Amino acid sequence: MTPRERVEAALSFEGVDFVPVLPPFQGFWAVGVYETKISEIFKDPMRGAEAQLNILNKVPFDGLEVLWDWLAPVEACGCKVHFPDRGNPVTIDRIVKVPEDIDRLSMPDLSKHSRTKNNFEVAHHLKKTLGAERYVYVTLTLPFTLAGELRGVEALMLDILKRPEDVHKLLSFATEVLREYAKFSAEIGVDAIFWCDPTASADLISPRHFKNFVAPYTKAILKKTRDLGLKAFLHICGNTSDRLNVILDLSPDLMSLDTKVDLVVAKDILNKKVPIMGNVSTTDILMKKPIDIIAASKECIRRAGKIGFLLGAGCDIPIDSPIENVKSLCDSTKEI
Amino acid sequence: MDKEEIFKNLAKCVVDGDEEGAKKWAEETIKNNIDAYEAIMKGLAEGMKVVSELYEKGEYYVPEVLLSASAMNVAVEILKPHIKVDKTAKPITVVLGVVEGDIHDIGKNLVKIMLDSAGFRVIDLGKDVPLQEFVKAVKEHGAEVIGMSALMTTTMPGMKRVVDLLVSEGYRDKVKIMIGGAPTTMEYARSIGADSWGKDASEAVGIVRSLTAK
Ligand SMILES: [Zn+2]
Repeated sequence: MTPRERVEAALSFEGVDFVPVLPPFQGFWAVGVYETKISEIFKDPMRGAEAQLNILNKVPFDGLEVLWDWLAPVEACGCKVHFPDRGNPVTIDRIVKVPEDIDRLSMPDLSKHSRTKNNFEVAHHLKKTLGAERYVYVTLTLPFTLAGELRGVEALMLDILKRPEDVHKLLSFATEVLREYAKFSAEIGVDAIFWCDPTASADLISPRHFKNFVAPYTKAILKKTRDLGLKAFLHICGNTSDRLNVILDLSPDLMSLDTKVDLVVAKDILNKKVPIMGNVSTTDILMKKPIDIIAASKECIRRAGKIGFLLGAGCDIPIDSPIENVKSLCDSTKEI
Repeated sequence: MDKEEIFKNLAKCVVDGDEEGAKKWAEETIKNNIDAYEAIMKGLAEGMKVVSELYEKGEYYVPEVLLSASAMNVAVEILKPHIKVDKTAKPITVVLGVVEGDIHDIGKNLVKIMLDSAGFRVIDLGKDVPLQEFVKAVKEHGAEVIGMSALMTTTMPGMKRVVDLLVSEGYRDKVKIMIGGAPTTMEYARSIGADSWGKDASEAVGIVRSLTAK
């Protein structure tokens, strides 16, 4: 099987020669391997693309993210962003300082936002180069995380309890913005959008709030993604075990699980409806040895089984992770 | 009004995240000539202790903890000017910060809330902190403890760089280091040379106490 066939088979619960491997999020890590400063790729975007192509020579992922700068929408909406040398860009100035600012928000013109344009150019280039052989996807944040960046995460958390109606208004706006990003993704013809929601992490909000403030907007986004002809993948950080029933209802085309989720439990709840992926510890990938990563990977496959399962890290591959450790994810599947 | 009754009400307002109630009972404290410091420690801090337990048990999440902290702060603002300052006592100082690259500083902020309410002096460097700032702050404020937290895996290597920097500056043995946050583990804390690890913010107070116990 080609890497692409392998991923497609896993997504439709068909048999595979080897369990496919998605990082799931390797972009910044790969840049870190080949560049000294992540901030450089925002000045010279094609260097970011080169890093991804180079990394594939060493780590043969079956699929990968071709757009990893998932906080670009935050800047497009008008927030000020800082680009550290190593690590994700950080929002430093919010546009929704008081709840009344929500009514003053206006849809950004993405075609005029240079960072967004560059990102999609890089994604298009990578898609053209890799897409025939490998599965390629764009990583974007879901409305809850975008809303958190526009408002400030803590302010958003307090608003949930103090003024829920304003939160819904802000989430509706964020949903509109992200629909536009979904359209751009469809235009360059990637296979899927990997929607992720770190701020809706199970470590941060309760199942009840997840159901009220995250699920409805996620559902709208997943539907839009499919209407555009793309697969809609989902990643929620933290131990989502207590809300997998809500995720079953959302029915993404793939659910990426964080390390704390027991794959047996996840498989049991999402069985035969939602393919799952995960969930080797990112801490282990950063700190341990290849032999440990291979053992952890095999354990994941043993728990999840070979059907409807993709192997990967539980979240972002940490910057500074040794290449040998990441490569071990791919090596492990060949031994089973 | 009986002071125990007032303390109980202050604690309850913190647990419930009731800002108006907290304001009312803080004013009652002053009106009844009750010691403001005692009201903070036996009322508000007791309430935060319960909040911390509920958070640890998974009954409270971040929004609920933040609302409780907000209610506590309303009362603290009213009580603070009435505290009789003891100039001889020097509280234990903790420097907190998030190293560059994590979009979340919420774990660190929860730790700050817990430490504040337990009476520690907290120097908050904020997020996206240049590494050198940690060392500078420790020297400047004579801090006994440094705390760092990560919610995302991208920040973790930065924690190690802070520890390394303290070593190379010859300052490592003058300060205790604790780390915490979702992707971290005790094993990770040990491997980077930190002194202690907390599963979440609810453990921060206990850790600082044990690290600084003479
Ligand atoms: Zn995650």
